[in-house]
Amino acid sequence: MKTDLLEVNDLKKYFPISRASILGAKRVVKAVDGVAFTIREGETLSLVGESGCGKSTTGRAILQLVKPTSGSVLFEGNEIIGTPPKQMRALRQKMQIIFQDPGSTLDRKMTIGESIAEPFLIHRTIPKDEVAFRVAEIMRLVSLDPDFRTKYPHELSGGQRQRIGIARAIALSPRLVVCDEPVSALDVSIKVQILNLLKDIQQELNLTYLFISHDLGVVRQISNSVAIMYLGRIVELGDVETIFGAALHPYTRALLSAVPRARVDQRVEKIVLPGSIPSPVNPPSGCHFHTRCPEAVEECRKVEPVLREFSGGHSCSCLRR
Amino acid sequence: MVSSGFDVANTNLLKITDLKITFKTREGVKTAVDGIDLEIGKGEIVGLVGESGCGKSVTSLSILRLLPERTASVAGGDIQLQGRSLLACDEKELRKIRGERISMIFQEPMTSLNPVFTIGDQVSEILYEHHGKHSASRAEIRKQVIEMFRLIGISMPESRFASYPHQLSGGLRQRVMIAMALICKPDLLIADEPTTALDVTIQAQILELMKKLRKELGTSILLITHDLGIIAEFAERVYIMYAGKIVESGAVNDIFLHPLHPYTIGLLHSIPKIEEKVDRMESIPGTVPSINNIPSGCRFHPRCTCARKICETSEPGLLDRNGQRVRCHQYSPAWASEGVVITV
Repeated sequence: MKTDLLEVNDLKKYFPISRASILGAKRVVKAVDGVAFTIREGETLSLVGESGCGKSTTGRAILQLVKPTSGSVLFEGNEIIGTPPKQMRALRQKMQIIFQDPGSTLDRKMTIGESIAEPFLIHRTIPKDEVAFRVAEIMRLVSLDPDFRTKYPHELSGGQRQRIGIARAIALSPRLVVCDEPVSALDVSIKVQILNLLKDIQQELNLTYLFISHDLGVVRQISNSVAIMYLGRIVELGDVETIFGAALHPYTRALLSAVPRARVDQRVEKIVLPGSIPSPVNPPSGCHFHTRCPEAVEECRKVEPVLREFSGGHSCSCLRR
Repeated sequence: MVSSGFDVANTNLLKITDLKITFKTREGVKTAVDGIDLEIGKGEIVGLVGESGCGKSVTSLSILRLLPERTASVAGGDIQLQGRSLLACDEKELRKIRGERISMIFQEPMTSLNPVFTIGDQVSEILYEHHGKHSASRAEIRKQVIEMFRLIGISMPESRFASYPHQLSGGLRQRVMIAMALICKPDLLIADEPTTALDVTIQAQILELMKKLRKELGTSILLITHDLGIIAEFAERVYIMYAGKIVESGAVNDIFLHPLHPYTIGLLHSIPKIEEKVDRMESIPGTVPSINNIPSGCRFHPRCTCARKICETSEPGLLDRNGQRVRCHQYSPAWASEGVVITV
């Protein structure tokens, strides 16, 4: 039985925004509004949703890159919210992040070798004279030629830069890696190479992934479980086969149907949702999704649905289910 | 209307023949598009697919002569709109063609809209520009714009007329771009990654809308994308581009059911499937070659799993297989005698 590596409970992150007028009330954006899930060691949970749903903020709040408003994050069984900066620094060795665009996260004036060596020099986990050896080892692990160490980021392709992003993230042998849209900026033929790499190093290093993505094809291939978010809340949560095969929430169903399929021999009935995603500053009352939901009834405008468990590990927040 | 030179009865709306586009770079003149042929029929939706740097956007920009003049030039070939060469048009003629016969929408609507004018004014401006200030009254133009807003599904078009771009969502902004592109009822709409910046539920709306407009207005669409899913669901014919060449083209049904070119096959295999989880996803090895470093022979040979000696040395010609065209030595009679296999 695998143990839970990460347990997130009722996580909230509210951002203050300017008042409507000088005399107006204080306003907040509820970017993350009571999110809860667990990830077992060595597994991948994907956070899925459209822009502004709070998936990236959730990832950052878990890593304490933004300070959560409230809630609890248990990592290896220990509460990490409120950890003093010094201890947090030590914890960060075990919790890393890969960003979407490695072009903008790499220092343009540093060589690839220097970039990958940086984590070792900051955390001093190994003696200085071993760093070069370890850098070469990691470069090989992510299928980068160690001869590239003297090159600069602009000399590499997008796929190669993402390999460096991954190399930096795994340098200190972390246990949890938050992957924030790691393949979204890559070309079709490169995307799969990087996904396969992420899967390989997960096996090899027993990594746990929190995978943030809006690409449902990618999510199906990489995840063990999936959480669907809409306006700061998880609306459906379950293992990957349940979410893709037997989704309950009307939003999940619409999302799955909207993805264009690259095949001509069978067609999927499209559920085209009306309107656009409401502003998180002023979310709709009751169920946030009621303004676009094809199944909404009067009750949905008034009553806030809660996430209820339907079968082992499969929960959905919908009054109509 | 532009009167002279157009063969209106021609069923081929746009015909590109042997188009070659070069760029001046620090390392000399480089060829971005190397002799492509492309045709779009009346009312047809045609896809142009390829990865970044393959030349698909450069091709689309060249149709409306929007390439940066200082660095890029059309080095050969022709682009004809109903028999009239667009390359031979002067700036005055081009202004008539742009918007009125052919218009274009881009990936990121925010950078194409002017932030200090209302969307109503921005769409009206096009009517003023093309029909002159005298032909229609202000009220008449406003009515036409609101009608177009309604057609493309902008709710409350009367009040939205006075909205500024920043007040709209991404999906609405793209709708405004489509309104601008279609207000003069062009024959051809070039859509360069029109939904790439949009969320998937909004993408579904925009694609639905473009389909509806084609049906109602009969507009031909050239859809440029890297997303084969969109092509499968939306286009009728497709051109697959790799490193400045069309490597395969044909009816969407044929190409998705029986892809011939190893690159097309590789692309179709490397889409992360939403239908089922696979143990190991297949990928195309290597990376897309840069314009400075185009491989010899068949441009795909360094990444091709079935490449043989001939692929390294000689460039394959375009072969026709029942209307499906493919640029690959495998389908030529000489293939059988090429025993040596290059290993990737």
